[in-house]
Amino acid sequence: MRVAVIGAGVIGLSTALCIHEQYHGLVPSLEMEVYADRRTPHTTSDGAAGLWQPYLSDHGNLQETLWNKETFDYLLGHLGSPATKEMGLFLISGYNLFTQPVPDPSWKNIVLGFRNLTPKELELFPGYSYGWFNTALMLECRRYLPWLTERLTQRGVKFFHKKVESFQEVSGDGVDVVINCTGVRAGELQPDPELQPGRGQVIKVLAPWVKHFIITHNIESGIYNSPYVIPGSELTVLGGIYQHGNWNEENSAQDHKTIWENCCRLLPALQKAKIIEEWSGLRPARPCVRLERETVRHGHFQAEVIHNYGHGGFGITSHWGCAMAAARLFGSILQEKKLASLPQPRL
Amino acid sequence: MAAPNVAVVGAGLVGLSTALCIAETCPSCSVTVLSDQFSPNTMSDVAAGILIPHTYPGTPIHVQKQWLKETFTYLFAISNSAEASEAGIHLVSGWQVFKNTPKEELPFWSDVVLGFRPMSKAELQKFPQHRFGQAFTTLKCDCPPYLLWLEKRLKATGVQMYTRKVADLWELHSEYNIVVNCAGIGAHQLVGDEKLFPVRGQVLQVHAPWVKNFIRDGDGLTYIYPGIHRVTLGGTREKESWSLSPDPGTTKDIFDRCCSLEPSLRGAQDIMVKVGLRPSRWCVRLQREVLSQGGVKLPVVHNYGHGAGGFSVHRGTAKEAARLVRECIAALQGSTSKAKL
Repeated sequence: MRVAVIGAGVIGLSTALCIHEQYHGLVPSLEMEVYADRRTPHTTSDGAAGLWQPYLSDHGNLQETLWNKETFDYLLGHLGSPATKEMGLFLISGYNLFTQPVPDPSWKNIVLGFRNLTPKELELFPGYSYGWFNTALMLECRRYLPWLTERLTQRGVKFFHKKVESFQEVSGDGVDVVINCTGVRAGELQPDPELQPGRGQVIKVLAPWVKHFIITHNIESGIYNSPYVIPGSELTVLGGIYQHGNWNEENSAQDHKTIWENCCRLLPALQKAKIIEEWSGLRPARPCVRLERETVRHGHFQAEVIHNYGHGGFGITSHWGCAMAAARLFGSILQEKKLASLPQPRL
Repeated sequence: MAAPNVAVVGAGLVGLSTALCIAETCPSCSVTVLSDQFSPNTMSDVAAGILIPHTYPGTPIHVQKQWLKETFTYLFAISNSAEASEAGIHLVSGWQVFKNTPKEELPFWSDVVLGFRPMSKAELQKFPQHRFGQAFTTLKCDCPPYLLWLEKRLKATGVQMYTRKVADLWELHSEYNIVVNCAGIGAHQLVGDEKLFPVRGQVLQVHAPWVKNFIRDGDGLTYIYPGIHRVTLGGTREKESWSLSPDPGTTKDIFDRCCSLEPSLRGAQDIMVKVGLRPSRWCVRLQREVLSQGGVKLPVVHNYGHGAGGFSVHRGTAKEAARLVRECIAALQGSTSKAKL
């Protein structure tokens, strides 16, 4: 049984690990390969700050809320382990700010210590009259992806630095199952008009006195189009750009100005921070995550494809729940091929 | 008295902040800071600098709360300004956890810090040996940059600073009209205060930049305070110990205790060990005294004995000391006019 995973961002690598951990014991002949044109530290995941936080509303996608919860609980469980530092995982507290009262988010009971901000706390943020405080998690992909890669390599998974042009290319080669974790460029393998880039730009600075994340929200301009400050283990990420449909991966001077001015207004002390890096990336935006099976045929060959892409700005937030769901789909494929008898997959 | 000459003895947190308050509230004064040590070699430089008050048994609670509020307000404004990084002041959130529920679940300072509330069950799960906890947001300073920032402010207001070991306050009587004694633990020898005693604290300063929250055990012995570049791990409370030498056994004990609160600290790098002596006293000595020899008088304002709580109340006690200095000036001016009559 040969499995090809396409994509080595947070989704590709975690899905690969999840499937290998669960099924290698049951299917000793399982051979897994990961194909990617971009690898850490050059993936979309690497540019993200790494804060676990879903969007304000799940728009009725209850499934996504469950995946987010599963991811949070999984990471929280890892906190006390010796691997934490290597994984780039740590707790962080912070603020979500609004210009008007808003309903509580779907994730209020997933994070720790969720509460509204007191009037005195709001004094810190002129212009904002309402907000939340909670403790969440950071998962820095610049450490997490190498950690996942190491775990996979130890398990004998092979890596190929190569751009896959079609499903046929891998299925024609004798691969039985393809896991499609190609993120924003999934449309190159199979057209998907619902998948659009949600372009973001960030400035990474040295500001080690910042210990909280601060995410502002502007209901009119939409998610991520309002300044945010997220302190990592080495650099602090300043952001606040979301441009739907913009494929440009070059940094924009105008966006730089927007981010810098807005974040310095939010946190005046940032004016003294030294700029270290600037980066633009494309969030793989979709009305909902595509997480489903498909049988792809080409001539004599056929392969089962498991799609796992379209996580927008909440890939890190949902990755493990999605990986588990993809693993369940994989399990049902194994059952059909009578390669393993498994208990009924849970939804 | 045209331009009273005021000497402030001591250049730690209390000395520098007191000198600054005097310069701010008494523009006609000429203020000079005298100390045998300046940052980074003062006792204050070792302090973690977290604003979590220590309770002085001998000072009324409402007074301590006033000092705390004034300090919090002052630092809050700095943390919110462009100067925050230079001054080394920043907000930090975290948890104070207790193995046994404390008698006083709501300390007197719970409404001074931000967002104070009991920890939820889910939050307590991170601390399996602890039954109860409090979550809040407070202020922290990195003392070396803060002291340098205070020195910069002092220079800007024309305050002079000199390295000088003062052996006896009286030796200043010919050069200065008023002396302010902020000698900290040095007051034990300087003014022979037997009620002042050291409480030795050993701390580790480590590189662990992923630690963003503070954790403190309610017994005050074990704590993790993330600073700008390093995390301070503590500590010890050894009464009457004057030793400034780090003890290796203590280092291991502190590290182990902190790792049991925060396991990821096992990955901490570059451990630096420091020792400080908290200038402890039943109450802060914040009062006037007049020294006199052979008909010559020297007004003194004492401001020392802040123990474990110096950072938490420093601005409040500095303001009170400045007020006492103004009283001394008024008294001097009164006696000068009497003499003229």
